Amino acid sequence: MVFIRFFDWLSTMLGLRRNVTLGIYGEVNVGKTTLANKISMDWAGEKIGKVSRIPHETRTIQKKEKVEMSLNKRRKLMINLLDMPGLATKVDYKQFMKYGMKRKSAKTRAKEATKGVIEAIKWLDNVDTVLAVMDSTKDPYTQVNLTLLGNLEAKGIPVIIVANKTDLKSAKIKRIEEAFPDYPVVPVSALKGNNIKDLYEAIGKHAK
Amino acid sequence: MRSKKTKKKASVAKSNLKIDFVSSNVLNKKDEKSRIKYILGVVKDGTILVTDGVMDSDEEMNLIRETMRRVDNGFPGIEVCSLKREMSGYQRILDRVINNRFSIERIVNRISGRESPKANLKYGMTLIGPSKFIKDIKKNPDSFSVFAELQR
Repeated sequence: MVFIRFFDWLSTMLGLRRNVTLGIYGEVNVGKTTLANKISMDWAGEKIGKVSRIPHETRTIQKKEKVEMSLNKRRKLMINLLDMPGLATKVDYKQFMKYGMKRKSAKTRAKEATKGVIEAIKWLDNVDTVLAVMDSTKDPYTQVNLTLLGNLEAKGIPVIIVANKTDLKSAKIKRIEEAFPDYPVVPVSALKGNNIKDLYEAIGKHAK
Repeated sequence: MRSKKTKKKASVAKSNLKIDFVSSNVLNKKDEKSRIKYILGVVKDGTILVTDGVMDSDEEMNLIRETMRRVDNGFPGIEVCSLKREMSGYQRILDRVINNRFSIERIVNRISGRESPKANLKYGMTLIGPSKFIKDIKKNPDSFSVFAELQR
């Protein structure tokens, strides 16, 4: 046990392994948890959270700590993976009722969702690198995305934009690349696992 | 008969939409905390607020956080959109210097629990409105369109 700890410490000191708190941020229903599950499954062998088509399924921060990601034979990243609740400027309980939820449950979900957004914003001060997930079938030029990217830039936190849902026919990756030309954009399908290796390479390159 | 008249009046009142155009001078007089409080007070009342200034991203994030604290059954939240005016080279440097100063002040004030500093809004335009009226905002780098729907 002592030997393992010493080896861990030595690896970090020699720069063979970096510790990174990786936050997965983005608007509601862009596939943050699907991506977190894919990363967690690939490197830790288990899922991190539940996915649903009803908005605001993730209402508390889902954590997977000490996920070891091998960048090559020598270099490793030790990641604390944080799947954040979706950011939003509005949470309407009536929206949940359209998915068949009863009024009382919908109101409870809305209350929890607002707390989740507050918590996600609070954690912006505690992450080292952010994966800003966007739905590539939708217009990325939203105020939430702009505010998130502006906030991270002001804090000096590295950002990788993940253009998700590329398996869908209506996906337009170019739209995201053109909207945010100053950021690295990695197109992926978190659901199908398409291009996920490029994302891991980008994490290795940009994570601090 | 009387009750019918009252009902008609009430439905007319519901379909009214008020837009306040507020000078950034008014908002610049307030510190960040009271500025957000003022904006949300106006918007929660059902009014759309337009001003000739833009918040910085930190203040915008705080606006979202405060909005979430105020969400209830009658107020689902806000829609916000801003257009920043492009700055020239020296304006950008000046802005960065001022921003850094406010960032440091903010951190110190947050730790010490003091009042937030007065940071002026940047050049540009912002629209903030209640999401129960504003259904969508289509934004481009140089313009935006607002789609509002009045309650029936």
